[in-house]
Amino acid sequence: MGTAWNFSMTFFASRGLSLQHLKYEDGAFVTSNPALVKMLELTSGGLNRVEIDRYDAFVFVDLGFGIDLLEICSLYRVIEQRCRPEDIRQLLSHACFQTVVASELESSLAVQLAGKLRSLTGRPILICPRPFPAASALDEGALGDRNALYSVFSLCKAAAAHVAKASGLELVWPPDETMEIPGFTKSQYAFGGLRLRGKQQGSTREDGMHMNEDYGDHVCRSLLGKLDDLSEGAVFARNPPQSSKVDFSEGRRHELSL
Amino acid sequence: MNSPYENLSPRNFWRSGVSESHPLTVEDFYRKKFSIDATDKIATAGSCFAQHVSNYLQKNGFSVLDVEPPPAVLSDDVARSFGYKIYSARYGNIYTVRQLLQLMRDAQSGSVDAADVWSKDGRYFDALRPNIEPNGFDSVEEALALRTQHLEKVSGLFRKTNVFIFTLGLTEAWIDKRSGRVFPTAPGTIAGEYNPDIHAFHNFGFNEIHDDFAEFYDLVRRRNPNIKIILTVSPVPLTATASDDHVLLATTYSKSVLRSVAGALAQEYDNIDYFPSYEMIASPWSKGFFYDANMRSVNPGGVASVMRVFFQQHGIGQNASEAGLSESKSPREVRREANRAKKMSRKERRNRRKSDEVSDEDAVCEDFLLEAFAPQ
Repeated sequence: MGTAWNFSMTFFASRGLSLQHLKYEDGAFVTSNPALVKMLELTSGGLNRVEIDRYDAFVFVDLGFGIDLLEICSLYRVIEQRCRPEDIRQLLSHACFQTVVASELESSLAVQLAGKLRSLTGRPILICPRPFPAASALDEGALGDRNALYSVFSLCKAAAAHVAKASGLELVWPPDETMEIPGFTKSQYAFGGLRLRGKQQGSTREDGMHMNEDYGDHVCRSLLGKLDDLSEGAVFARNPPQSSKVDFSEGRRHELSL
Repeated sequence: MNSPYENLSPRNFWRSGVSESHPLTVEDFYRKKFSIDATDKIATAGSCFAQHVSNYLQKNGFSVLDVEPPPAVLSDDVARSFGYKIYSARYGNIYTVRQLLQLMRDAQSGSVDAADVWSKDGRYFDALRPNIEPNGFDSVEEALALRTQHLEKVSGLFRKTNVFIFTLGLTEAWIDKRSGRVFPTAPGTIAGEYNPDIHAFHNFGFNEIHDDFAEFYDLVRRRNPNIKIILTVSPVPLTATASDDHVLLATTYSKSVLRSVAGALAQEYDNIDYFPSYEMIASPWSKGFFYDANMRSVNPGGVASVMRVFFQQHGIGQNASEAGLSESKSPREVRREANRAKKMSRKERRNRRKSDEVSDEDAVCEDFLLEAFAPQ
């Protein structure tokens, strides 16, 4: 366990895309939506305003920004993906496919919020995209051969990188070790997936979208690494993390908003 | 003394039909040969003027087919930049009848050829519809795969449409001498490279165009015996000519031939009608009001006037606001607006020239690119 981490994090979370009810007012994101106020207070430890000047960096998680190959590839395909009998998927050029992915991402809450936030502050805004679907949900027939996935996935990532850059977002992809194959999370990380309403106690059922603590551990390490890079080493201070679990209770100097 | 002219309608006389009439208020100018209504499945194609026709039909409740719709998430502008939502399929502008016939033959055979893929700066363009991918394809294979899909869709389109509206645009074209393939743009304009050993200029004549269309019609009718066709001639002059003639003479030749062919086909076939948008916009009748300052681009008022006549005949209420037509706008007001346009300052004209593509109500026209080759 690193003992001298030089930061703190404040979480502001809510279910689904309900953060869309945030609006800017007097230096803070606030909401008059009672349910959202309650969720913000619950997740942040009592705060119901996101004071922009209080934080050195901002981290968005999901907020509609993600790549779901299952969904995209049920509608469209590129030439690397074999055409099946009765295939109703629309063949798109790589360029058009990327434009489709980019358009989806541009309409996400993350990009909308980034636009608002970027007009208020020049501080880093990081985005951890929605987890890739669990590999157990993979229908080979729907996606064509695995080699094609590499092409499709790289097109999606390029589109996401383009949108993130244009929106002033720093992308933090899930680490490679969480992926079974490109665009799909190892099924082990979907067991006991966490939701805001609490852990699915004792259940191994998965929805293929929500991931567990082990997954969160990997993503947090990537995230902190990125923040450390951006802060030129200020986050990890002298002791980079060694353990398998991240404890966010250490340190107070650099505050981050999730 | 009896005269065969003495009992004719006022529309038969130039004074009453034209001199004392106005394109904005004219009645009984066009008489439809057959009816179309909102239940018909309409397909559109042709030169860029046909895009206006297609837009107006859709806005006024006609059922215009789109067999290659864009991915739903794309905005209209982005979709159009990828060649979607312009015509009933993603074929781009079809300027010549030979191009239309070629498309029909290809759709029936499903054949594609790598020789029809042009390159530029490491990107690849479908030479038969070079404007459908703004930055070209990644590879020849990709261009051909998308073309194969396109041809399947076009084949389906001509099976299911009841009414095909086609705007004849040009007689001039560039041909691959080896294969006889005709292209919508000259090689070297959007992509490819002009090679006089391979590419040849061809100015189609009446017989060629007539016979090409007759063959196209025959091919379509074998699958779709009851299809009706409405022909129009684009009133948009040539941006440039590759003939030895002055561009105005080349334009007159081109439009005259196309108008003659359209008229001849309409006389020969019961299921082919000619709609006179060309005369409304390009004749002395409209005194040039319907052109922009460059005397080439058709302004929105011109398109609206043409479509008003079309909708009047086919009995479907025109969306007046979309058409830019107001009940209160008199011919005098229209003339006043036109005069104002003519008095534009040099700076305004220069700006207008720069935005020609926009002023032509956002039509996607490859031939405009030829302007870039004009001496400065």
